[in-house]
Amino acid sequence: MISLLLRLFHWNILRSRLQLLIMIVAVLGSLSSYVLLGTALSEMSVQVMESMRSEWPYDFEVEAWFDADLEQQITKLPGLSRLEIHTMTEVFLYSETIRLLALPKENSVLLLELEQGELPTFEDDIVLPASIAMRYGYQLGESIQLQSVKSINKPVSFHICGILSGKKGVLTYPLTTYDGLTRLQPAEKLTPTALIQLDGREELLTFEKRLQNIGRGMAIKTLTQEYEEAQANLTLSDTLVNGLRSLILMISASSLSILLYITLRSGAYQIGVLRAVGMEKPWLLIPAFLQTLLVFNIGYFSTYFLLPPVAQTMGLMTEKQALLQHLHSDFWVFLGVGMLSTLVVQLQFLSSSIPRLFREAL
Amino acid sequence: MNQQSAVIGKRISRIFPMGDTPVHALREVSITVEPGELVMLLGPSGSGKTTLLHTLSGLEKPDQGDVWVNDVSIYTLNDWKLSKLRSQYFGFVFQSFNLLPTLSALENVQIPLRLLGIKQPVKKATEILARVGLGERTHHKPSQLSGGEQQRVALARALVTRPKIVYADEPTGNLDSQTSLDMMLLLRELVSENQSACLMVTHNSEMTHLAHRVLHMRDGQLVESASRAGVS
Repeated sequence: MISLLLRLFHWNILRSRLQLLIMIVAVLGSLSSYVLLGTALSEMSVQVMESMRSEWPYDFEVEAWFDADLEQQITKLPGLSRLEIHTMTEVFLYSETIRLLALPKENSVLLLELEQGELPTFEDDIVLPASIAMRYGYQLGESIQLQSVKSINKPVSFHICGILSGKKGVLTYPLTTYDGLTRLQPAEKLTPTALIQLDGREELLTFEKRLQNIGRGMAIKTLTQEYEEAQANLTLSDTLVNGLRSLILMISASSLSILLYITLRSGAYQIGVLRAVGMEKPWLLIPAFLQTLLVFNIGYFSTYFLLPPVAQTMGLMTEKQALLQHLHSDFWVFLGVGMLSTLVVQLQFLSSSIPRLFREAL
Repeated sequence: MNQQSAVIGKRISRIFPMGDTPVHALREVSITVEPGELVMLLGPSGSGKTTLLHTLSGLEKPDQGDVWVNDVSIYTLNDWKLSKLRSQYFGFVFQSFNLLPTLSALENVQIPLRLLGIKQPVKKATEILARVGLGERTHHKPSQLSGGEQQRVALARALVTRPKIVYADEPTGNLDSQTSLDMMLLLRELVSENQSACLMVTHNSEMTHLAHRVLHMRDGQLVESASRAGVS
């Protein structure tokens, strides 16, 4: 029976090579547009969400002595979008308690746009945010006295080497170098802080529980102010993206169903004959499924090779690897839709009476 | 009911809806075909010949009436059992041969044997192909065979399981007159050898001398029956 089914599959394929080619091209086209448009829209949605975040766009602050293992454990948590390790301390400026940051690494999402001067280089350099400079009347080149909240040392003097812009989204904390921080507090007492940004889809409480499960003496602080808004914005974007993707999927499924119908219809008489001589219906589904599997796999591999250059030509910023990952995950959705279309179309033929198949084929 | 009969149709009616007007394709037709009997069904187009053949062969359920094979009313069976019954007891020969083009003659003939799980399908298919005169062409594809040869392969496929009855729908419709005659003689010979019955729909009244019985149809009814007991 298996060899007979394989022969039927072979016959299905050879019956109309042009239709087969058209189907492969249709799969290639619709899969490419589904992946390209889906990826571009998803990226746009994330960009929009990030642009609506505040100057401190994090959802958790976690204090701990991080090593590579702990960092990796946190990175692997579902729902995490960004993890940055920063060093900071609390200082007194007059009667006010403010946060002083060490200059972040290059990959930080913090916006450090200067209005005047330059970023700190030496241990006594400091950059003030526009709000503090304005509130206390500090000018570029002047000195400022800060005292650590956590130690009893005398106030330490810093030289104002820059003033940050007052634009929306620019950091609102003063900045110095790591060595500058150690002037206020010994290095062994400067606990690093992991700043975590979630993807807007995960619930804060769920993520907090996951963090707590890691243990390792971490002090976890949840920042709830803007996450709900981010979630709401992302939900809206997701709805739009999913709506458009579903639309592409439906159009693709319809066109593929029509092509499948045309292909299968050309063999309706033979399906009728096979049913007449006693072949049971479920067996007749197998060659059609194998055909769909073949068409979709050829479509997948063609897309795999053609998509990156097409994306590059279109100016899509997504990296090749990320694009192929999208293709890989989207392919299963597409294959599922293809199989479902095959089933629906084939059931149309299998539920018809045999004489009707004979009549329709004439 | 005669238990020896190959197939019995009782008061079969079939109506096709054509817009608002129903078309009576069959009007209470009763028919019995006996084993070893070759029955020809003649009549103008639209008289209901093919519908009767489809109904008797389990392909199209009648609106009224019963079809009996082996004491079983076949339309009481579910689809699965009806498929099984068709493969066990019925053979089919169609006008346009309907061989699968990617299979050789030998493989085409093996299809019903494999569906029934009969042992030694290759041996049995080879034997019957030799019997229809295609012993040397078993590995040829349909496209490499003439129309007459293709119809002989189709005949071998219909008879290889030794069915109780062979249903033939215009089996010579696509063949020239000499090939048609050869085909009919072969069909009659094989049916007789197998003790199978054969119900054949045809337009060709020149072949009626080969039948044991000729039935005429008009407007969905059997209007005339002629027996030819002494057919040679």
